[in-house]
Amino acid sequence: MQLINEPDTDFHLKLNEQLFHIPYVMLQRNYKRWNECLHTEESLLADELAQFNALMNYKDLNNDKQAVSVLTKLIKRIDAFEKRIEKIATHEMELLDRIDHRIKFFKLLQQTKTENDRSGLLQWYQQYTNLLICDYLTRNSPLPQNNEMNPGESFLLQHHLDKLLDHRVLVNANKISKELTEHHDLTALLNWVKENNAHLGQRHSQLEFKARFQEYIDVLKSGHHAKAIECLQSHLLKFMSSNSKEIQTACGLIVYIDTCAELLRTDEQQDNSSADLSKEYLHRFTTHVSKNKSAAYQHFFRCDSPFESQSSFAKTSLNSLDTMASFFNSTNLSEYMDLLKEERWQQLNELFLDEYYSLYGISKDDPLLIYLSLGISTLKTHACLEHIGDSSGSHSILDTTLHQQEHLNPCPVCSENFAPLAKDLPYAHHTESKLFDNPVMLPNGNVYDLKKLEQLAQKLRRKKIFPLQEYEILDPIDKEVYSKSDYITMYPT
Amino acid sequence: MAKLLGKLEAEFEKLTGGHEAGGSGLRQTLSDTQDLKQQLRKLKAHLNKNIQEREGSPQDNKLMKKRAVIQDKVNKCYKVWDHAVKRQGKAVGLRYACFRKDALAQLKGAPLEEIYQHKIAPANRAFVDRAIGFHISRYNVGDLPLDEGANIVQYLETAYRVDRAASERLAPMGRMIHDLRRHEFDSCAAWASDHGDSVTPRLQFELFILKALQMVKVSGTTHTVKYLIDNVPQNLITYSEDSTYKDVSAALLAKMVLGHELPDIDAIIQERLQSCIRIFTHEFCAQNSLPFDSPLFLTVLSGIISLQYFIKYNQIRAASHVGWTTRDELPFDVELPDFLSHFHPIFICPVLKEETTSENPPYSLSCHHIISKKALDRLSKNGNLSFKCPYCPVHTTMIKTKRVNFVIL
Ligand SMILES: [Zn+2]
Ligand SMILES: [Zn+2]
Repeated sequence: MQLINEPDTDFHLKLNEQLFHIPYVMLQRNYKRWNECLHTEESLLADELAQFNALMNYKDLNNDKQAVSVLTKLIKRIDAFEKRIEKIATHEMELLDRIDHRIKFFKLLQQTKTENDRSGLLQWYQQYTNLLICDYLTRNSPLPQNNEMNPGESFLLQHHLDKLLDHRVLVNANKISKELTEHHDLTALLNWVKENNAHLGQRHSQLEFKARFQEYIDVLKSGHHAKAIECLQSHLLKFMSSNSKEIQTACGLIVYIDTCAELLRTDEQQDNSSADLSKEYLHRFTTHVSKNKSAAYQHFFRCDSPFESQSSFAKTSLNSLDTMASFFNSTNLSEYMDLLKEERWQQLNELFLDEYYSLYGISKDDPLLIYLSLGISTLKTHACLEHIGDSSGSHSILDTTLHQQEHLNPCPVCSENFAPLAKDLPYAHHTESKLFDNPVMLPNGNVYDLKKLEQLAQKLRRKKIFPLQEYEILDPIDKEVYSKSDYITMYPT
Repeated sequence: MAKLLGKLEAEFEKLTGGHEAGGSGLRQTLSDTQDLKQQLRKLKAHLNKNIQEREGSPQDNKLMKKRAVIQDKVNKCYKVWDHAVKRQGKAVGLRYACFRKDALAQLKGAPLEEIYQHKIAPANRAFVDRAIGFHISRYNVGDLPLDEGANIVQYLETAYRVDRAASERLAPMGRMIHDLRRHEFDSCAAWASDHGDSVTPRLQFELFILKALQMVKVSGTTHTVKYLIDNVPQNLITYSEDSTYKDVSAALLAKMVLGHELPDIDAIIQERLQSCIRIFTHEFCAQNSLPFDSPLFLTVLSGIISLQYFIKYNQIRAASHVGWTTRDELPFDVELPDFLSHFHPIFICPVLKEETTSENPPYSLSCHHIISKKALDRLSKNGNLSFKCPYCPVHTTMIKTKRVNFVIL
């Protein structure tokens, strides 16, 4: 049952496993919350019931009155509990409803196939494409400003597709991710890490460590040394067994930055008196570290480095120079510089998305881009991209008409937006010719579809764009006039 | 066949069907809890009453007995509830696990990202964004929830971040479609007459019919008749067999002679409107050298169709431990439907079974059979002045061969 050689419904279903997996993961989390809620409430309720029984066992009026108030408390607790599980049950219904909608979506696909409804099938694929676009937009849009909605989400809502895509899951990932890359803000990420500790632990994930490490570096960069040490103690040291090397570097980094600051201070206190410097020592120091050090200094203090010129070195005490040089060899320095690089945010972001997507079983690459890459290759012929960009020439009506004719070619690969993408992608493979009916050759070697060629001649004649006799046609490529008697019928295959 | 779909549906039914309160059964605990609350409230009221009564006659044995019954009932209903809730919780857990095992696990296929080799470079994302912009504009520009006088380009930019370059080219079309939907046909008619000869007469006919239908619906019959007579398009004869034209005439006659209203005139107008919008969209795109189908849609569709081939190839490759054979050409033939495969001419040399390219172009022989340059070179390799066509008995000399160029119009 194929109308356009498309895959069968089960194939599509497998391909979209995550449409069912994501709500299932959420169902399970919801169920877990239900269990936890029940567990804690139950023991509290049992306690209160025991209190009630204990009071009742006195069998006197006074204790009975107290028992009534315990009962009131019990009822109140049940009431609150009821509200909580109501929320959970409603959430479950919503999630099940999403699954239901998705099953119906694929049943619709199956129905178009069973009914041989070709235009229905194409419409289904239009919807599917819209979903892919929404998925892409929800994942990749920049953080919305002042109450704007994520464009992917607005599109979904506008087209009543919101139940077919777990947009909140994607928007949430996007939010945390963009906070990292655009604002260097770890708050959202750290919250997520906290909520998903179990999942991350199972995967032996480095995410928490990397996030805390980044936090530490960032605090250090902003000059809050005490806070950095606090962060080191409370969040990083527990990773000593798994990440000892990095923690050592972290400790080294703070000493390094501190020394830089120290140097700056002594530098300010002293005057020019200590001019008696060993030239050789100075030279060794400059060649060794100064280049990296200046960059690092600028990075930390956001002002010009005092190490930039030789004359400023003269101000610096020999003693501090000595410590500096022995403490930090150049390998250390490059390591520190690496820690401060912008790319670390990008790496952290990648790691986060990895973990996040794995939790829900979402594909890491954007499905839209995957389909585009496959689709372009499948469509790309050797004739593609050949006419791109040659709109020069005179602007006579004939040229415009022919030009329009040429640009009417709806080949998606040759379209202005995909042509640049197609350059790097492989060509399709063909084992059979795909030509046209009634191929005729003109004396210049151009082979056309006879009918199309005559239609063009008719159009040019009717609109008086080009004076052609009844028995003449015009070759749109070399713009020469040929007689119909010049046609040579071809047998290409 | 859709075995998996059937299975999924059946398993989902098992997960959600047959539970009184709906859902997987969690909702049942909710109503049980509400019951418990009600019962406890009642028992509390009984106990209060009992206390009051005993304050009057402290040593009444009957009251003491009643009191014991109340305590007993409190404990009992709690126990029943506790038991039921626990049992339901367990049952729901089991149902979830079954759904996972019997439905979800069956859906697991190869991850999509393992299937393809050529990722789209991040630097090219801007082009993808623009293609999305065109796609959204193309299919939605006439159907936006716009306020009177709102700017289409502006709307698309704020709502979907559509690049202006993409939406600006389609905005005039959107504006006119919006007009058509509001039964204002003038802007579209003006556009059609501006483009005069290059627009197919069909569009003008559709507009004529639409306006006539609208007049049948709202204006007096004399007006309509006058309009019909004054504005008959020259090409009416071509379409006089058109069923709607007959509908309009019939409706008009019925109204004039019998004073009847056409009962489903709105449905006819609606149907006609859709067809008019479709034709207009075609015309507008053609006039402005814009593709009628969004390239993004066609490409995604091709990608979906190709996926089966990619997966099969990957399986074979994995089984035989070989790499992709070529980097610049897919190693397999993907069969695309007609509307996705005739954008460019493709000629496979019948001798070498290779696609011709600008390096290896097709040549025509004197019998007008066509082979590739490489095949031709092979046939004439021995310096033969003349050689036989591989497909017919005709002999050809090199001078008589001619390079050909297939062109699709
Ligand atoms: Zn092309
Ligand atoms: Zn031949």
